[in-house]
Amino acid sequence: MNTESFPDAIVRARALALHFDDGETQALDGVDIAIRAGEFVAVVGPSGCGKSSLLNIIGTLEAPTTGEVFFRAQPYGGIRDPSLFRRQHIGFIFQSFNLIPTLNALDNVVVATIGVPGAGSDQVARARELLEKLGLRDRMAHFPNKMSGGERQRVAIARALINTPDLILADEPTGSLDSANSAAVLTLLTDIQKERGLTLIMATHDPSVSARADRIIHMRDGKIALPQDPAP
Amino acid sequence: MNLLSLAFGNIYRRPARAGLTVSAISLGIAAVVALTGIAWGFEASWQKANDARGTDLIVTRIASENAMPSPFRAERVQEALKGYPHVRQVVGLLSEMLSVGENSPPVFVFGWASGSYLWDHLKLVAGRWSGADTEPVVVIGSLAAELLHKRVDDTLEIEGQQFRVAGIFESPAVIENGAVVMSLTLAQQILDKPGKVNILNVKLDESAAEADLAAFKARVHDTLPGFVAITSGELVGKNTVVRISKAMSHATILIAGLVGALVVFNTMLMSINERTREIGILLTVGWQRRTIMKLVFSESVILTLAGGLIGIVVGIAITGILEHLEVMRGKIDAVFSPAFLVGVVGLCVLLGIAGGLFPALKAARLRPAQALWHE
Ligand SMILES: Nc1ncnc2c1ncn2[C@@H]1O[C@H](COP(=O)(O)OP(=O)(O)OP(=O)(O)O)[C@@H](O)[C@H]1O
Ligand SMILES: [Mg+2]
Repeated sequence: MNTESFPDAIVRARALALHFDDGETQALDGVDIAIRAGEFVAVVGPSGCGKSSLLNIIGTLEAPTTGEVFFRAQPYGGIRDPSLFRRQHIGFIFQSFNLIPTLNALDNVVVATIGVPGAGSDQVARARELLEKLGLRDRMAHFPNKMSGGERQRVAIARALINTPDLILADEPTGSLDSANSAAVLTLLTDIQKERGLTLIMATHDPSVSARADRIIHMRDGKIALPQDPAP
Repeated sequence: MNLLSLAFGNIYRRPARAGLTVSAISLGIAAVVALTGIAWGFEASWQKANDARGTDLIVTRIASENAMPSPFRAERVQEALKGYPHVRQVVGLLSEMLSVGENSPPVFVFGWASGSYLWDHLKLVAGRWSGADTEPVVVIGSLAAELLHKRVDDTLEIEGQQFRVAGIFESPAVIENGAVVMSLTLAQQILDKPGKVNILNVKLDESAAEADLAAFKARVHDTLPGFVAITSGELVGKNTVVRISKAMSHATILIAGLVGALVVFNTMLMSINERTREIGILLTVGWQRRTIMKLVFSESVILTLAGGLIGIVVGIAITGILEHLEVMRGKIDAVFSPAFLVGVVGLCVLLGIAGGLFPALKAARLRPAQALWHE
């Protein structure tokens, strides 16, 4: 793919490679992508093809072995504090929810604002607002183990949104949900994404999920594949 | 919710472990508080006894570092000192810790020169003062009266001799309150140390200034070889018992500090390892590494502070009990200065930071992608 094709790209990656075990495993092997601001992009491909690896690198959770990533014009190599960068720009949603078991729904959202200068009661108000919007008005004081998968994932969505990110990275967000919950969560997520003009990159196995994306990126063996390549 | 409530919540997750950690720290701190309070109290009560008498300088033998300086022949030195400028009185004092009666704890027996200023600060509460120098009577402090179960006109047996209790007094110094006092002549006789004293108490006149004290000390140094003139504070500082108890308190601080830091280190390391994934989540949602470290330090300092505060209360309680044991009464008067207690609290904060340092660094250095998949 021509990475120069989007002058308004929010994320651009060139020749990304991610190796594990001294190069024995090549999770990513020469990936070029460009994501337009406000786009909903689905990343699909067989298990182990490198979807999570790509999202982790874009999310600064992992550094590429080689290659370059840019956020707007900023090269990732120049980011001094990746934690701060994540808080300012990126929200994460995972298949396994990754909520903190000892915190209730509200605190699981508010926890993402701890350490933000000037954070305080208005963050709690914002967290409540988000949870209400996601249909969890009656679940604020519930702990994760007392909530359904769909509810947990909505808490995770609220947490991803609390610091007003530009980019949401969702790694199989519906992977642990049944089809009804999956559809509901997806609708909530895409509604908020469109409403706020967020960019959403979502790794998924589910064709009914990727069907709703603006664009689909296919991957195979750590590389970007053509859509017509047959699945194994 | 904020960092602190999160820290409390994390500690509360493992109440048994937190409880054990806090107990271990509080035991150490209790030992520190009790021993240090007693060591300082020891020093303070001796100094108080000396100060209450209104002594300006004490002249004694240079090498004396026992609880009381060892006795020496007083006459020659005493006569020399009387000729010094500003000197009003030079008074001999002899003392020994002795058993008085069969089932009583040992008490201090003081011999003070009759008619000297040493007696002036005592307040008679019953009976009378002793009369002639050689009359076989004693006066006893109110605490001694209680401990020995003696009243006025009862008899006391000291070193095989019978003495009648002429009076009971009160002193501002607990050591004197628990003591038996008799004339110097009598004390020299029953201790078989005729003409000897442990120290000479020097009282100067009101016009004596700091410079005169210094001149006095210099003159003793120059003209009385083998003797020193020192203040009561300096004498107490040389006291072996005070020195040993201070050394013990220092050793306890060191040991309790090391143990406390190790216990916190172990607890926090276990806690961090259990929470690896959670720390990965926090890093992912944008917690900075320094915020992670703050969380770990908050938890470790909460543990040590809780242990410290409980330890202070327990330590003071233990000391209170010790002070009221028969054998200890009248010998210690523990001192817990606010500065010392603040120091203990400060020590606890330091222990929390020292014990939490490696766990905090370990937590802050976790790589989020790895930590997230940690089970
Ligand atoms: N920490 C790691 N150490 C070693 N190998 C790894 C590590 N993380 C990922 N891999 C390997 O890299 C490859 C790509 O993994 P990745 O998780 O990106 O795939 P994926 O497309 O997300 O798969 P799935 O659909 O199953 O989630 C896989 O072969 C995987 O085994
Ligand atoms: Mg994956």
